[in-house]
Amino acid sequence: MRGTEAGTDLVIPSEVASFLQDGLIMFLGTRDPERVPEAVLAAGARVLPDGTLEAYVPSVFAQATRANAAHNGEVALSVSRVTDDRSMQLKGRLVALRDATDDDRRFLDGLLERREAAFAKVGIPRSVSARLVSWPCVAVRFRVASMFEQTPGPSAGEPL
Amino acid sequence: MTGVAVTGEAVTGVARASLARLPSRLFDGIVPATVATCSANGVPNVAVLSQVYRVDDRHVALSRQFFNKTTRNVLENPAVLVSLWDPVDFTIYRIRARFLASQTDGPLFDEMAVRIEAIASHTGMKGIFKLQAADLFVVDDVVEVTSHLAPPEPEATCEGEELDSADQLARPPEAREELWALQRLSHQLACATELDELLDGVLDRLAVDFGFAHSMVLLWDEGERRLFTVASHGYDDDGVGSEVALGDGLVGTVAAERRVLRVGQLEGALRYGLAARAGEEAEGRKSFAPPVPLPGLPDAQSQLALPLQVGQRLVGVLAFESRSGSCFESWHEAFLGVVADQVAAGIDRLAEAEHAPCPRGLPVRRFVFYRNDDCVFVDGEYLIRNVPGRILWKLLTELRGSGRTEFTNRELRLDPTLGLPPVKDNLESRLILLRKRLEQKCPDVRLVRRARGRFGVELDCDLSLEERLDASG
Repeated sequence: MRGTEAGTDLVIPSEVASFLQDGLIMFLGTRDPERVPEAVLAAGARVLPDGTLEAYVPSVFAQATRANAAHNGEVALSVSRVTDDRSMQLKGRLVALRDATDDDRRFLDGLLERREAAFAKVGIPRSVSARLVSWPCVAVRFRVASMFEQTPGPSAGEPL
Repeated sequence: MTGVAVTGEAVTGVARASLARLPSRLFDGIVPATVATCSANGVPNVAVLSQVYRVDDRHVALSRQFFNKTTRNVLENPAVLVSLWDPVDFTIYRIRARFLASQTDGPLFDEMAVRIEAIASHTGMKGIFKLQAADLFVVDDVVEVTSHLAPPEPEATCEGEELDSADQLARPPEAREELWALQRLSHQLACATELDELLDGVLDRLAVDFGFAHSMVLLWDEGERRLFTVASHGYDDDGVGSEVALGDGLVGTVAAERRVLRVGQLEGALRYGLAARAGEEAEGRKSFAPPVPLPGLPDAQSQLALPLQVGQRLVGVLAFESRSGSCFESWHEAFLGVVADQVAAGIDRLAEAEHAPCPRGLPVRRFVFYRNDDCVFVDGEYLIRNVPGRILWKLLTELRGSGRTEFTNRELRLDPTLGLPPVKDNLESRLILLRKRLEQKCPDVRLVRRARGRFGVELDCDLSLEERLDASG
């Protein structure tokens, strides 16, 4: 495993933790041993009591994510609010990989409902967004080392 | 559980695809695309893209305004994964590609920049939100992914969907309704003898035959350097007389750049502009002659605008909008481009061709002409300004002074006080604009065509005419 862009672990601010519960579209980025990037849709994410972040990747997407994360531990979660493109990216190193549980599923229920509502607001009907397979999931827990603004604009890319 | 569950890690629902055959709506940004990169030291990065442009069968270009980390990464490590979403059914297309070069000028850059500029202008970000470079990538592999999708429900329909259908394009030419509709449209254009007949007829035909329910034509005023709406279809308020400055918004950008522009997911861009205007007025900037608002759907999700040109000369803009974010596809640009060329030629042809003193104790209409900006109000309400305003004032003052009710285009052209340009004066379209504004705001005063190049002014009211220097009196 190699180092991350920022060397120290960060405490995720409460505003960011709250933002993660909004109607968001999320992508989890990893890379393979040849540094070929990979990104897949994530169903949701939350901050755990120990300060780590856990993202939930539908198993249909998770094969490369699992292999890459297990190989080098580098993880980047890009999150974007569907209704206004407010976006950020959180990068860090893998702590653990596991299959998501029924408890995780109950948590994701509310999150995905908000995502579908947000899609509907921008003209994508629930008949389309509800087709997204979101279960079962792989839980990807990582310790956040850096956070970046990603909302389109002059400050995109700046550390949060 | 919201969404759908499957068992195990599916590997089905993944298929090779061809860049050339991907639906054009993928590139409209309705669902933002993402690009994944990786730095030299192995840190992945995922960024949202505003525009992915299909250059040819093997290349794509990504717009670069702000995403610096992506730029740094591809300079270190050229491999990228671009994910495009089909807004219709959420199929994902994963494009593996390698960075080739950044372009900061040339046709590709210009093509991408004009779209960015239009969006920026629309959202009040002109000068801030602009294209820095078009980053060119060679495509190694395209994969269509549907493994994450449950079976579809019956599809919803949208305006123009019959035209979006790939089935329709796949049918033999003799069965393609749009070709016959184009022939009917062409015939109507050829037969029109009046400009308003031509414009209203074309917009009606496009709605009936093609499903383009919301459309407008704006004509270019060389003297004022502005576009003004002269015909529209499908709006509660026809917006005739509304103006757009060159380079402003989608329509103004199309006129300035002489390029077709198609934008999806407009959200509330027009509302944004109106809100900004309201803010200015709230701060006390007086709006002496409030412009007529552009006709527009408050909930438009996509627009397509085409320049009307005769040779290199701008005649106007033909604009469409829809509540669906994906109703306009790239082939519509070509198809409607044919229509636009014919409309422009028709406008030019008809513009080249030539074309009431009986108060009966009826209500008095009070007209005020403000000399400082050639603006006419009727009964305290804004009516019209600029050249059509000066024409109206000439007609009304002559009518009351000499009793004349018949006028000719020729005498208007020869009147230097009206400020008509010596060539290509758009007099016909200005008279249509004036006639329509009168129909809306003052139907007691009418312009009526008598013969080629002749028209009359008919009154069902008494006139009160007052000329002022400016609003202060």
